[in-house]
Amino acid sequence: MSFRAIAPKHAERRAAAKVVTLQPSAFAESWAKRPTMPVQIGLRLVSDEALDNARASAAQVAWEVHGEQAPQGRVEAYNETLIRSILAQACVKPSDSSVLHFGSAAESVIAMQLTSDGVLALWEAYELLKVETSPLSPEVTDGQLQALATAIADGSLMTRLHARDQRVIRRILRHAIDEVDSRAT
Amino acid sequence: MKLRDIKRGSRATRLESFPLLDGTEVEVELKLLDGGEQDEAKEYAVAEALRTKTEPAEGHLVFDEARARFTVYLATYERAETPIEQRSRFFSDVNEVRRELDGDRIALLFEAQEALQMSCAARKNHMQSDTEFMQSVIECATKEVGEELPFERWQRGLRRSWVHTLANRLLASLSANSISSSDFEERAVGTSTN
Repeated sequence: MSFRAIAPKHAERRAAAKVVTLQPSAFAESWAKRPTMPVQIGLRLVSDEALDNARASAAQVAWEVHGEQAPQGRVEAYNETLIRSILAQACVKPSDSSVLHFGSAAESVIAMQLTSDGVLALWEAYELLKVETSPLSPEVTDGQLQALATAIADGSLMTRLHARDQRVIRRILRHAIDEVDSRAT
Repeated sequence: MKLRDIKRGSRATRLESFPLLDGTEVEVELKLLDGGEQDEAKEYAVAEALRTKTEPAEGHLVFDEARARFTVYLATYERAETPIEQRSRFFSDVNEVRRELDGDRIALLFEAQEALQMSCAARKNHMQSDTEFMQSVIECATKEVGEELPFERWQRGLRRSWVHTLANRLLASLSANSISSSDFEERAVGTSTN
């Protein structure tokens, strides 16, 4: 069966691959319609084409804003615009992944509505979605799981990490525990 | 690789399943590309590189990504019982590959197609002698951290064969010395790797 043949089924209304909840603090105080309750946002993976478009848009913005004179500023502008452009295509309605959450002018809407922490929260969730679903992501082996259990039990897991890295690992492990709980049958 | 280099015949295929971006699992059949089709993929990659004002050569991001994308378009077929030449390609054009897949999925299919291509090639995909194998191991072991290692430029088939032989010999050596793999892991802790 070719892609064309499965496309109609493929295009049926589908729930987002992942749903994240943004607290009101993730939205800019300057936004007149800042929510007072947590907001659920669906995430979907973006295609190679969308990524290419995001790169092109980021490069254009970076050069327009900073030109030849400020290479560091150009890099920062590129990265910020790239992330917003990807999120513009990745954020969807939780119940229907074909409807963009931030609408058609999503990139500028994201810049206006979200704080930098809000953007970061969405980006981290998107990166996690990629790890969870990529056919290239390696899966942990039984031996590695056993070694992890031993390292947790004897306390060596955290003691060999810097405090900042400990927090990162604790967040990732918390996410893994939540995922196990939500998927357990 | 040209058609004349293909040993298993131009109908050799490989089944590959992968998830689409929305999670739908699909199974496709990858086929060998002949010299003309490989040239087409390169021409597309050159055109993309020139369009984006980047270097039209292997090792450059735009060129490599474009070649992978076009290879996936040319080599991916719908799965069916009929001979492959009677079937349609899975994607209607290269733009559909771009619209419907991301970089990871394109890389997965491209690497699977390359592995198929190498498995059918008459080109060298194993070491010619034990001496040659040992020389390459010594060369890898004595390079400084960060230096390019010999296998990094080898063809995929040769790399696979080399790593397989290396792993086999390590296992045999561990067994001969009655060292368990956990002992080995303990010994390995703290050693630097590339």
